[in-house]
Amino acid sequence: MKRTYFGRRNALISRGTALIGGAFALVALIILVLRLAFPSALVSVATPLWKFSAAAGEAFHAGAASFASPAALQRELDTARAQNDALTNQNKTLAAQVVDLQNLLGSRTDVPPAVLASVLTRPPESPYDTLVIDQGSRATIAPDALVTGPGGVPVGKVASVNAASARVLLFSAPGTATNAWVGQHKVPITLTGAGSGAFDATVPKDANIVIGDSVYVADGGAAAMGTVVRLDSDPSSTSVTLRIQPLVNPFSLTWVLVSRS
Amino acid sequence: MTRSVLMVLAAVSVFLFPWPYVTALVFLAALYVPLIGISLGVIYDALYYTQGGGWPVATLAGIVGSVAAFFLARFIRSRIADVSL
Repeated sequence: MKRTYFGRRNALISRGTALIGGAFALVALIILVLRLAFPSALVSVATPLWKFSAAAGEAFHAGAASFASPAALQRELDTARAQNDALTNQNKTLAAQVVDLQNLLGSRTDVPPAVLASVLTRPPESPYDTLVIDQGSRATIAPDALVTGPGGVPVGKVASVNAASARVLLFSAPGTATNAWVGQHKVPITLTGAGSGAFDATVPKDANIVIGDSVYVADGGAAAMGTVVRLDSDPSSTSVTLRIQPLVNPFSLTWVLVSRS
Repeated sequence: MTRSVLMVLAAVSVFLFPWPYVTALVFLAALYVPLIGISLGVIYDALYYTQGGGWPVATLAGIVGSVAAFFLARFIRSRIADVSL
């Protein structure tokens, strides 16, 4: 006799949903194992996507710029032309210096003190104020190496290293403490990362810190790395909280220098 | 169709988009398949988390988001509209 069969149906999650969820969980598990066992492989797999993301972002900004007003674009063009002329002249001078120095010293050069690395990911792709860079232990990068941005501004330290990549923890990562100085008299402070490139620090009121004072990293040979932009103070308190803005915007970092071990 | 597009977008966004967009897309996808929230949270931390950077926020947010999306989807299905969530 033919019987009608009704399969049991899960009232909470359908079979299809469970299958798709299981597939995602499996992929997540594989990626987690890759990260723990072969971190370089994971970065290698993700690098083309990160590079595509960066290229797409630049294309988007270029496209958005085309909607700007003609007057603003003309001003920008004039500025760029002026900068180009200045750089061309500077380049000629430097090229002449290179020729002179090569004549004097030969073509032998010392090992450079830092490694140039391309930034694969930066905030806000990552919410942790971290960078992934494309140079690792093969390029003699070691943990705790100082990382500097344009103009030699310190931005963070290497947290972990793989063969061909490294992760950089920015000084602004939430909860990260960094020894620094502030103001003309180099008052010692402890910078606390506030996320998204910003910092906080506390100093006594009688230190006379004012808005606009520079902040220097103690480890980087007193290199300037930020500016005091706000002072928060309670009348009953003897201390003042400094809100510090970095000199380098971590959201737009594309190249960094990593000091050699 | 919407479910497939959302899931693909959420999966790809982990590599391509800033984290606020990733959060929104993953939560929307989790309304259809709750496990996606936890899975993509783990993948996100595998890609970006660095020791010393505090808690693995993405994984924790994924767990919370998945649970929230699960109950929200049930609520919508039973009380508001019988849609294929």
